[in-house]
Amino acid sequence: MASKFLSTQTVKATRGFAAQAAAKPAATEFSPVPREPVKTTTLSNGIVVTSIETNAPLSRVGIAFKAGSRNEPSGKEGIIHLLRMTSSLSTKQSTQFSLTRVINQAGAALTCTSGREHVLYSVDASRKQIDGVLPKLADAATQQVFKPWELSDNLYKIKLDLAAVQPETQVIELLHKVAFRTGLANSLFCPSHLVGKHTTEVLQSFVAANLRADNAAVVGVGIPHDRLVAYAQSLALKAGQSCSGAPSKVHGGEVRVDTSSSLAYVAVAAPGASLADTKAMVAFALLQRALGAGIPVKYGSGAGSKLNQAVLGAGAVSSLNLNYSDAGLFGFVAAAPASDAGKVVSAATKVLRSASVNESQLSRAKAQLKADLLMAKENTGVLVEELALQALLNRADLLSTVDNVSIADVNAVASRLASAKLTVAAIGNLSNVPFVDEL
Amino acid sequence: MAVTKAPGFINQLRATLGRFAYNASGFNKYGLMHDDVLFETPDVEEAIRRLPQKVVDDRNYRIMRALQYSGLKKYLPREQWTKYEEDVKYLQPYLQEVIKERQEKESWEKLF
Repeated sequence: MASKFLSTQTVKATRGFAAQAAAKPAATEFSPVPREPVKTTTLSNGIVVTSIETNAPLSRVGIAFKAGSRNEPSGKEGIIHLLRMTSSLSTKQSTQFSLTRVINQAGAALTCTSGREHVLYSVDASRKQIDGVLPKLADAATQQVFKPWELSDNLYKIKLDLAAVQPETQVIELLHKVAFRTGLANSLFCPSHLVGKHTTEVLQSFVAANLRADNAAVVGVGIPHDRLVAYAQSLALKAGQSCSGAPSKVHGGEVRVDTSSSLAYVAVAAPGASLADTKAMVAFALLQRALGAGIPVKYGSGAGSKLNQAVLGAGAVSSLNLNYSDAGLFGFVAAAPASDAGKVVSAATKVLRSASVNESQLSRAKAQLKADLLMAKENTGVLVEELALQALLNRADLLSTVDNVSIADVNAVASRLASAKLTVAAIGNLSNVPFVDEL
Repeated sequence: MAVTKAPGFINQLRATLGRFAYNASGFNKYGLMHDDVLFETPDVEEAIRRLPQKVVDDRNYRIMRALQYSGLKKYLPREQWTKYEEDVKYLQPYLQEVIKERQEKESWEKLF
């Protein structure tokens, strides 16, 4: 049983999945029992229940809430990190010991994943064992207690998480901090000055205010829909009021953190598409593929990636596309040795400013995006998280809209980047990294 | 409220005997409470570890004061002796939780 942390949404594609309302795929020798289409029910108390019956031996069920690090009250940042850490600790009905042993005995795994706008408790087990562990999932997700001695005994896990943060993750957290200032700026990790400062009362009041029935979704893969609806109805969640926070705005600016490293990691971003604007979201996703989101061939040269071609092997660059419910970021993340960092960042910024696509690049980007969207459906863990985000944040289904995007749409969003205000975050050896007004 | 005679009598007897035993034990003459002088088994030690800081501070103060008076071979002035009615069994909730957890663990270990 793992307490997995962090869904950084680093190069998290704007993925959706097909409603498969069309004809069911026929059984072939490779997939003897095809997946059923997705089914959604909304309960009277507001819980959205979504499931896909995969007819596979593995079941995965998740309880997700529309409460992420952006909902943390000011002065108490890091609560989401604590939620991830305490997902395995005692609850009202179970002790830490029984939670662990029941899940181990079933050969299952309990995971808590969180992002800036959601927190997801999920359990995966074989089909025969899932019924035994679903009560424990309900305990972990809805009956948290946060005993003071357990918090202090497990504080070392927070410190370990913080020590294990990679610079590429840290640079994206810094980018959010400078771009959004509040709300979405809150990091997925506890700030180091607040480690050990969260009390039981603070955590319990956050859970009571934010983990409610009206912003909850119960998602399941490999489980019958009626079974999941019955399970969701048995959850003890109270309805409540959502207090709408301030809308997010992307600000320009920069943050630079010098560390003793031989590399420099730089993230440069401009305002991107929010989840509310599906057309722009798809266009940015295609532009991301066209500019190069990682190297698809291992140890390859990234010849199809405009960003990688521009830096001529002096560093590694990957485009960045982040979509939140009311704001987005689009740009790139670059990593290079300290001496070449300036060249790499300037060249990549030039590519970003003058981004455009022609027909062949667009069709390649479309193929890559469709492949990524379909690949997401293969992994039940990613699929459960995608279902949850679609239910909670009204994320659109992208697969059906990819083909309808024209070259003009993509070039329209790309031209926005030419004059956009840039936000820069840099960490590492920054002796050669240009400042934001030099870009 | 009209109550039958028997429960009233039993409760009164219980309280009287309890008070007699409490005062005969003598720890209240040093200003200690019942849970301050509990024999420290591993369960009790774990329960003490879980006490909130304020309760721990008060407990430590009473114990240190009692040690001081015991060394001087003196009792506290009679007004400061802990009364049976004022005694708070602060450790019992934590202790019961510790014992329940230990028993749960033992019943699991018996099976596997």
